Amino acid sequence: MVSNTGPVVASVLLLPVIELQDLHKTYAVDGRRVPALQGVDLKIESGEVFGIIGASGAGKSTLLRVINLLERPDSGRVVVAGQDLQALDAAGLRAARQKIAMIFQHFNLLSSRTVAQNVAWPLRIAGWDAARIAPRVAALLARVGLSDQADKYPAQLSGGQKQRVGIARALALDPQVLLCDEATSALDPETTRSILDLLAELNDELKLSIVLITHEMDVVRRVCDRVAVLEGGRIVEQGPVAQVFLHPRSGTAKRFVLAAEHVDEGEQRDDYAHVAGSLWRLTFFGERTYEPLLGEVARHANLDFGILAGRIDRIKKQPYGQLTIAVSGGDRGAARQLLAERGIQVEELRA
Amino acid sequence: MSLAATPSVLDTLGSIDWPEIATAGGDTLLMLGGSLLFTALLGLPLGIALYLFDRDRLVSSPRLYALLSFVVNVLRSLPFVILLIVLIPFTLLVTGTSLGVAGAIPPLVVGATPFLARLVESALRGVDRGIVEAGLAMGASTRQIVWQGLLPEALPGLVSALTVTAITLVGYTAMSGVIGGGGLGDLAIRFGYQRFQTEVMVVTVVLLLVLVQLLQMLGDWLVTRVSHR
Repeated sequence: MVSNTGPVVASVLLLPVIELQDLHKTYAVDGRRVPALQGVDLKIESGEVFGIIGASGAGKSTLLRVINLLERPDSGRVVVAGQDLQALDAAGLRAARQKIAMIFQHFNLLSSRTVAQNVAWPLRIAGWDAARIAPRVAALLARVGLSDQADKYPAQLSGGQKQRVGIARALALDPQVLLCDEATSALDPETTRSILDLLAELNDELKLSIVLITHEMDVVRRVCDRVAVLEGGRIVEQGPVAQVFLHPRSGTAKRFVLAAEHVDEGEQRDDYAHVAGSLWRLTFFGERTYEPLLGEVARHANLDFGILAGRIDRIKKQPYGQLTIAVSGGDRGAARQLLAERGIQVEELRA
Repeated sequence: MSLAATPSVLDTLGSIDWPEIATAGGDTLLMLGGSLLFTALLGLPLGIALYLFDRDRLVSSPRLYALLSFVVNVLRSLPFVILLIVLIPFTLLVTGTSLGVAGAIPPLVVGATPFLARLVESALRGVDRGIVEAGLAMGASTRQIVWQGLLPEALPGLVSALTVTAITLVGYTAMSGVIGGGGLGDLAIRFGYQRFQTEVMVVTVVLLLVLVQLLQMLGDWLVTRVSHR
């Protein structure tokens, strides 16, 4: 298996690294049946960063734990790296789990062990001898920038450092997949950014497939390639992050996007009520974001516009802009056509 | 008056049979050491089993848990004095004698093991479930999670559990005089209580107090040594 030739490896890379089929899971809580997953299908490609976003209780934690069978689904199939995990015996599952790493919201480090010993744990579990463990641990700690903390205990570290230990530990056995369970939810915004940057680097360097669950759209926007929106144990929307973030279709996705932009929908509607003219939302993406197109279009179509709301930021590394403008006078049809020709998406919020 | 009192205290101390007290003290230490060793050897695995078999824990076997839990509760509900007597045939079978240090150790172990097991179970329950989850996610076996995760994490709690058990055993050794077990407690009852030699009573009680105090200090010191929270 290890000695696959080039073309075979290439074809393996095209296959989804994780394939979940029609997953159902119901918990019994105080005699009541609480459904956590109600028919989830998901394919995650090798080398992508996939986000699963949902409110608490939407089933995202269960869904993540099904991928390494910490939770067994009532029905459905779980295939990771071509292996049907539910068909494996106990030893086979343990071996498979060594290639599916996981990091946690509360880090789950051994408080009784030093940083180096924590990172060594998966290696001990896999039966490595001490002579091989030491250099491996040193390399892992160097990668996450904690070489000088090797002999400290977790209690002596900051939250961000603890998560770096968690990441070093997760990488110990060269996993194919990294599962992130709300990995930045216990961290402050700046630390969150540095941890997300580290995850993005690892995804890039190691071609590591990453699945992360979060309740923050901002986390998805920063690192994910694709995202699925989970609600009531079902995937209500999924697609490339730019698509879901800029043009959310489901109510849940819209709420998450608005929350990420700190916009109160009701307030916004009231604010726009007394604005004259049509309301358009323009979406710029990529290099277009920085081009001076609005003035040009306004001159050509001879119309006036006022900017009501706007945001220019990045989705992963791609710049984007989204402007809500009020338009009056002139030839609006020509303006829309011109904008479309320049690759700018126009949505009419109010005619 | 104080001039007269001073020689009287010295006289009293001089009248105490010190070699007898030394022998009794040695017996107490032997009973304590021997019973603590076997209690730990039996109580730790029993406590681990209780933890593992509990519902939603690593092995989760509610029936086995109920069975073990019942046995532990039965042994814990018997007053130790009764246990001492009830166990005499068992003790004879194990050690060949029901007297002295050897005769006292089996009932001490049977009395303290369920106690320690419950404390061990509780110490393990105090370990964050996240540790178990992390171990499982890394592909660890139950054995690896117990040895490499749970026990190191619970170590301060386990040391406390052993300290409390040791001190409880000091109390139990005093009762083993009932079946001729010997030791300081036995001495206090036979001389201090039954023969009205108050000074013997006082000396043995002071020695027991010192022993308990030392055990507690040792235990507390060890806990701070193994604790990294």
